[in-house]
Amino acid sequence: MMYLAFAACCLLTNLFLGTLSTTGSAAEIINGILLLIDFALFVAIIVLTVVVCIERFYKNCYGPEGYLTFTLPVKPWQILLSKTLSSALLIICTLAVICGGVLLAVPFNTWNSIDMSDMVAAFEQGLQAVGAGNAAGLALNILGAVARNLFVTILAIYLAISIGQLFHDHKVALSFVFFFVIQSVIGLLTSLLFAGTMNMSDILSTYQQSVDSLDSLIGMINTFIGLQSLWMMAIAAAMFFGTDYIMRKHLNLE
Amino acid sequence: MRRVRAMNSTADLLKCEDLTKKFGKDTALDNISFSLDPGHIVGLLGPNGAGKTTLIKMAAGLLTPTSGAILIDGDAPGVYSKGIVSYLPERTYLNESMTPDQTIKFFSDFYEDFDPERAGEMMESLNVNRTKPVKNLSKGTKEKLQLILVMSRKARLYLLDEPIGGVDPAARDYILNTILQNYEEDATVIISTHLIADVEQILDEVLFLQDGKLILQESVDTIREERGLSVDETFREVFRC
Repeated sequence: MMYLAFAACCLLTNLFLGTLSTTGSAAEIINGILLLIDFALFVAIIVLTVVVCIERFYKNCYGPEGYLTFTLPVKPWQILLSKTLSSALLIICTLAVICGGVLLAVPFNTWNSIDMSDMVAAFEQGLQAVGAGNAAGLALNILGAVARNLFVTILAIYLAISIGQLFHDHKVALSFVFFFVIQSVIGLLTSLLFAGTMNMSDILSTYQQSVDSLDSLIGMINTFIGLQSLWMMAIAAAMFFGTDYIMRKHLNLE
Repeated sequence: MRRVRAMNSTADLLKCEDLTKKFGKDTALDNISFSLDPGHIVGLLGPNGAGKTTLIKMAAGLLTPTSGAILIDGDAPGVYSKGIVSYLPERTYLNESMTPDQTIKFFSDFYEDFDPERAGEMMESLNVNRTKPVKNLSKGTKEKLQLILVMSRKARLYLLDEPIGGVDPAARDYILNTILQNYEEDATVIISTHLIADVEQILDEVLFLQDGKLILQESVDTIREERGLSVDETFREVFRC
């Protein structure tokens, strides 16, 4: 429903901006209100998605539905994997709707005025400069980085909720506390691990000082993102098996 | 890969060895040991807070023991035991947005021993609207629906926590008949309830729990012959305030 409201509001923005005069003060006010509503819905969709992911996991696993979930003849890691994938899918759908909404909000006549051949030419020029292989590698690396951050965040939420349910009282409050503890620990360990090796400013300064090849720069960026991805995948695995361990050995549906 | 296991119909179907469960400083179950053979209907009886629900939840794999062990057909609660145990909790555990027909599909997907036709017939008999979401059903109908789903499995151990607590007296007889007619002969049914008089006629054996301790395990025939009392009268005598 929220998705539809966001899409409808974006379409309304598009039609208003595209067909009506936008020079009058009343039109500017309406424009402003529409953009404000678009933004409010954009924030609401993101918040709602996060809340749904948390609520579904808590209710399905540690709430009343947990009585059914944990009496199904399946292993806890299978339950955890299904919850992780369904949350990831929900978040990807939300991101797709947001991107679609933003594109939808741009008036149709604006699209017509954009010279696509210029954009294509600029893209081809950039691709030639960087090299097709490099560009594809970089794009894959960035997509991978987004995906691993998505899974790390989902698994951090699940681990925090699972640790919270180990306690007799204040389970929800403690889950929030542990989420921030987990995030802090990940941040601290990541800083310690990468502080002595390499970081983005090192890469840029190295490039500015001595490296004149774009290939080298992209190679260094790929190495940096690749190392961070490996580290984050190790963290994701640790959180996955930590949550699985709690579900197997310390389940307490009181 | 699904585990293939030869079922031993004569071994203890449920066995507790020095089983203890603590919640913080509170002891819900205190070092209890007993075993149950297949083919019995067992009443798990005791006052509020005696540990009945805790024991059932541990057998279902929803709580982990603080110490001791609980074994279902020789195994600790896990994938194998959950495939042979059919558990009815005292609360609604179904996804409220699902319809009864969708719950039948759900159970068919997960439990190999689930009989969807049997479930459909029972829903018709008990007038459960099969197309209404669970959240729109009355409390009593939700309980009937859960009991139907649980009893439509050909399980080896049924764990029923207060199965007749929330339904009207007219439906109780039907439910008790449903339990009698639907459980397999080599299966064991454990019924936890306060309504002893209502279930007494179907019980073979009773377990009395008090303050987390097992204070009596006896067959109903022995109680009647040796004590000259019904189970209800024995309960009142043992737990006299």
